[in-house]
Amino acid sequence: MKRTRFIRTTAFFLAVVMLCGLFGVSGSAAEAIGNVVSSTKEELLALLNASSYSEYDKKNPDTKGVETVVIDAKDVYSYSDGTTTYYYDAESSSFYSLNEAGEKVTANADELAVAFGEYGGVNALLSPTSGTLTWQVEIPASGRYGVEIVYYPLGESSTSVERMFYLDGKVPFAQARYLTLSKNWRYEYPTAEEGTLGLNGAYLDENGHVIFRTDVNGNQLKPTAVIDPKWMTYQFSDPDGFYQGAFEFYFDNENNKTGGLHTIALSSTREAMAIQTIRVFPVEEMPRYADVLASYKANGYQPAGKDASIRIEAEAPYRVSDTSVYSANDRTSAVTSPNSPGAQLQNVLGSNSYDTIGQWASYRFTVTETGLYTISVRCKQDKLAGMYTSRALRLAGGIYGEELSVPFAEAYDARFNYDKAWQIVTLGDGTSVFQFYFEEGETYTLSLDVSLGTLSDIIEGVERSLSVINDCYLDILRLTGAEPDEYRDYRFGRVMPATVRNLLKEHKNLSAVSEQLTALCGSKGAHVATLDKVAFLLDVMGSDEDKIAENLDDLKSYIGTLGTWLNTSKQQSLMMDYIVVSGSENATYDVSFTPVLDGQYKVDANFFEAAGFEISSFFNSFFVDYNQMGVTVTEEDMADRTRVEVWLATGRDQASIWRSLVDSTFTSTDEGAGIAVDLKLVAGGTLLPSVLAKQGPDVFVGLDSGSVINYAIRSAVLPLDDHPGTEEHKADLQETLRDFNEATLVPLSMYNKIYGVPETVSFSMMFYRKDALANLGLDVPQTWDDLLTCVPVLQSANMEIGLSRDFNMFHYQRGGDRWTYHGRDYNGTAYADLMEDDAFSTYFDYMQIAYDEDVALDAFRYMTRFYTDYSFPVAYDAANRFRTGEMPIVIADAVGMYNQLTVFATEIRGLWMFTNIPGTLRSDGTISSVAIAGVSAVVMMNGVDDEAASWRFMKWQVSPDVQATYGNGMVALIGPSAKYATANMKALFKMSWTTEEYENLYGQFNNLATIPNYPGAYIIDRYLNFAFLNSYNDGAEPVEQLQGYVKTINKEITRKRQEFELPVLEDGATIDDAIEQYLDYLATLDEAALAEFGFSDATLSYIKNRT
Amino acid sequence: MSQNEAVTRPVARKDMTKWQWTWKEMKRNKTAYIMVMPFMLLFFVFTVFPVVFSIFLSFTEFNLLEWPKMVGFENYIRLFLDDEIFILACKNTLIFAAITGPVSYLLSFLIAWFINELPPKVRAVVTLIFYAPSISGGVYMVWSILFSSDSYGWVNGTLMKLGIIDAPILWFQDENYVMTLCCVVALWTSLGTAFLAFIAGLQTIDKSLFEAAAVDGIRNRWQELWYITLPTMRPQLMFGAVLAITQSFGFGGVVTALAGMPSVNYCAHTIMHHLDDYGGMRFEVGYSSTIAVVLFIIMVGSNIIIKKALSKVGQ
Repeated sequence: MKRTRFIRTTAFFLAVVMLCGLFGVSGSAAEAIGNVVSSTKEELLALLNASSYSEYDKKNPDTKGVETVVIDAKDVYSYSDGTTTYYYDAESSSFYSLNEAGEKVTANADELAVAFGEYGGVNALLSPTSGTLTWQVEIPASGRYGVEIVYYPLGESSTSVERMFYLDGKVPFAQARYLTLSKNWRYEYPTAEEGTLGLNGAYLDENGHVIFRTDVNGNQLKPTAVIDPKWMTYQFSDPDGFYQGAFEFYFDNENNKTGGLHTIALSSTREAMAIQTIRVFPVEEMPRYADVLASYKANGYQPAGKDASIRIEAEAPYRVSDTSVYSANDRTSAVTSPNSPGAQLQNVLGSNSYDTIGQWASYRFTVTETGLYTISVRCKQDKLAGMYTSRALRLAGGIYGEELSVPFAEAYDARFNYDKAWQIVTLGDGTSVFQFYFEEGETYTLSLDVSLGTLSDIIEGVERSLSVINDCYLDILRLTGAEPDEYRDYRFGRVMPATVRNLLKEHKNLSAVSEQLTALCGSKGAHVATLDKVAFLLDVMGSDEDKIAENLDDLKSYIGTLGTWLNTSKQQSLMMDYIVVSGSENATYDVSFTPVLDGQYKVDANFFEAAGFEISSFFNSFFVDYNQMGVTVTEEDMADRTRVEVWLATGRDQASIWRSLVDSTFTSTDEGAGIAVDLKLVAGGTLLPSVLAKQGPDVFVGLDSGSVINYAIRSAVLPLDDHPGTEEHKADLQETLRDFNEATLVPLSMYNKIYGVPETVSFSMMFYRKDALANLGLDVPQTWDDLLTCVPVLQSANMEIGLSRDFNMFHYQRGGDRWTYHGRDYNGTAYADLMEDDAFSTYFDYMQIAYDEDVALDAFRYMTRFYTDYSFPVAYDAANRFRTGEMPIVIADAVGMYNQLTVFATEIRGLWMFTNIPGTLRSDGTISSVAIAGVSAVVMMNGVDDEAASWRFMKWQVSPDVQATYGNGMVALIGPSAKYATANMKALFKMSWTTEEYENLYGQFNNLATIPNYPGAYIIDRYLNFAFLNSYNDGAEPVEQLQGYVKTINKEITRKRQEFELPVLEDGATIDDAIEQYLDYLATLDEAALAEFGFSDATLSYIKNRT
Repeated sequence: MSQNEAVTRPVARKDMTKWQWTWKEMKRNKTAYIMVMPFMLLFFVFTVFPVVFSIFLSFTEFNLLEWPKMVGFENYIRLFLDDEIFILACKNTLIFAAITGPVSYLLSFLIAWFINELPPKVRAVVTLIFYAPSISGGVYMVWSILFSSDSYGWVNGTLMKLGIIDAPILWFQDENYVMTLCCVVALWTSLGTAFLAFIAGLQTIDKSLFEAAAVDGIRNRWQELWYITLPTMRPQLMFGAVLAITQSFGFGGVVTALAGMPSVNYCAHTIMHHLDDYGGMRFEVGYSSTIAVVLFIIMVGSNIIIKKALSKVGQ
């Protein structure tokens, strides 16, 4: 008995001690992190956990708003730029801020980003690319209101305007974080002498086909998109397309401190715009189609005659939402209009990228007879197998009003079923086709908006399930790690009952969604099977907790599958050939009416037509020069121009953009007057053989900096300072180089000469998962030491950090330099006077490496410790692990990783960000977060025919406007995952990054270091790698390892420098010895050879006197 | 009269110089020369000339882009006296050659011999299975997935799951494993053309020879193999041996693909790599030609040795 009590007491005591210990530990851990926590984390968590609109909608009482309130945007209450809030004083029409004493300080209007101005003929308020604008609005009674603004988009990039909406200081629900306002684009068609001007602004030939610009072989070219800003109306609605119609915000007068006086605010995420008015209005119920039909009957509208049908070619829209809605060539059917077996004609719209929610294309037409019409589309939907894609139809003109609006609720969901072949679909919702009333003489606008239609419920359901499953996975991961022991009893049921319940709940949800989808599509396709598979696994894991550990791996891959499923399902792709607005004699006022289309609209070609077309195409293919595709300047025109041969080592898409850019903004303008550019797409690695064979180009685009120096030192690439070398050119070169970060010029320069202009630049940045860091209570690390304090917290949650191994980063952050005698002070030497001459002393740079200095050894030890002591993984798939959340912090190539995550990890959209890499604390307390950049360049090759013409091309090619147009063109053509890593700082600003992304990117862009590549440099990375691997694999002392290789590296550098007859520092020699040796060598040269070094007269005479 | 005599007497070899005779013979056989010309032209331009040119280059300093500079024997001196890595590469090459050459040769033959005993249909399938790794080009990349350095790599993952290791091993970047793994991969891919030649050779053997030998007193399969099978298929053996040698000396691409270039601490650096390092990375074509010449001599030398060894087969 005593014994038991003793044991019990001891056990209790021990338990208390352990508990205290636990709190002690966690307390101190929290403290350690506490000092890096900022207030933004709570905000971030609140934002991440913001409810979706459906929850918000359910929560609010069902009281409708009473009356419409219109606010003039110019009556703005305040503007905040993130640091200071400026209030608007209507009397003096100026902004003022309050200083610490509470006094008003009038702000200087020139320094403020916000302003008033005239936009499109209307006085309005400018909403800049950053900052928050706030208005006050008096709402008479509590209730649900919609919000609508009249805006005028500014800025010429292809990205839409994005704003975050606050009601009474809070973002009411998740979707209000990224309200998307489209811009208005039109295409520029050539003016034709013959033909008639169509309503879409293009000239039409006698068949009603648009006359496009053609290349020399008669292939039609895609027209250029031009932004056409105008005042537009936007009802706040779901940017994801899950909810149709306007959002209903609940203005609550009872629980508001200021009663009926509410504040509404718009915070800028992307792009600028002007705002005219804001309207808060009670949302009216959409009429149903049946009611509309009844009204037709009541008004006595008659169907239009059969002959009244008109055809609108889809390839030439009146306006589009963004530049990725563009025309293309289709050759899959002989009857696609127009089509030609020989030439590529623009004949369809939206083969690739008319598939994202929010995109639209509008068309204009008139009818010849008043009456009821149906609208049909000849189209192809062969992307979303087993499902249908949707378009929302908006109309304007006549009875439909001036602004484009959806005429009735069903028109949100015009369906296009899956079919591998062409089809003619009459707009309808699957059960009935729609009839519209058009009057003779009116001009109507019809817009087809990409929407999710009825699929929105399903997709939203899956999206919600996915985020829950993802959380479950991360919960389990935190307990078990990525490699769970399947024989261990983790007791999931006790440790995380909610997670296990959620697994089962999501099983039910997904099964329900799968049934719903089967019912909608009528059959169980591959699409449904994916959902079933995931649901089954969830059932297994949720109902038997012993199965959780062994199936965790599958769960991870299924999360990815589900993400991909969502991604494809959201892509509502549709290719349109033409739209027919047709009257129909047999029309009834019945919803089940089916129209009969005129015989001239054929779904597809018959056998003979198809065979004729294919055979003719086949024979034509022998006569088409695919290299000439898109070339608009004929050989004759080129004959009297100077030819510049340019090689590009990129992809086909990239090359085609360059070709059209060269045609439209270089050869046809003053910049390229008298120059014919011969653009050739070559495979990488072709340059060396062609230079050897003296068949090289004049200009090569995209040569990496290492090769630039390799070629330059063997005089295969020309220094731009001397070629062409006129005074005017020199000024030009300086002017051009000003747009680049100086660091990016360093690896392209050698001995005071520059051998290329930077084209792209790549550098690492830190990517982090906002959700994971917020959940663990971690702040984004600013320094490496911060990062190390995160390690225990992450590791206890079984998470890792992905750090791409880059010794130079650590070395340069500590102020180190790879080379000795680089920029060194030569005062101690006997030849100090001689070394004053930069042209002379520069040859003594880069003679040896500085890896035996303390700063290098220290940096190397520090870097190695990450892998040895903190067990950071050396090899890992960054994107995959970042996506699953195992690796919430990854340091990787900025643009590459960004592109990959954008296209590949859509399910974590908005949950991650990238920022500058962690830095090293300097002794003065500042942080150095320098990243090491890799540069590729545009170079002029030795053997160039016309240096001046080639330089003019190079200058044009790297200029900010051209680089920006190219980058935006890539995004428009390929999508947001085709961001281009330009080296031009001004171009970076013009590209389609969000404000936050741009600021982070620009921050790192200005904080770069590069490593000059001098003879023998290749050997350095090799031995650095060996030194690291020896330390990692065998636990060798990193410092000794690195030191041990210094001699070997120096030997190779010396040998390589001797090859190029550069001064060397042999083992044990002093700098004086090296100088003497070099002077001896120079003395052996004749005068002409010496002249090429560009030494000063004093140096030259010294050399002469020496002999 | 004497003229007539001269005409009637047949032209004899001793009447003319060697060159005249050759020229005459060539004219007589001109069809044959014309027939062989296309091949000989190509052979000289693409095989003989590069070899000769490479020997010339080995006495120069040549950076590809600028004109070569004669340096005499400097490259050779440097190669043998001042290049530790070359010595290391020689060692590695010999190890590779010693392991993969004979082993894969024997393995090819043994497997071919066993397979030959199978019924024809089964034989076709089994042959394909064994031959597959060497026809499908980059298939050895399977090994880099198996032995990935990632903790999710198959071998790392399995070993970690079983609790044998607790941190992933960088298989192809760890000196302790690279050489062994590369040898295994080399053996796996080496059952190539030689193996097919052996199978073909085994099938050409005249069955009656075995019967005759049985009468002459051959007692077991080993004697059969040594006295009949091997001597009969000597041409195929020769072919296989030459292939095995060139393959084992020229073994580089697989190592580069798996262990990178250069492998950690040059632990799997072969002469081929060394050649590539100087020719491709450092633009020192003169020096890399020197390496090539040395490699060429080693290969030719070992070919002669093999030829000698094979002539002993069946004796």
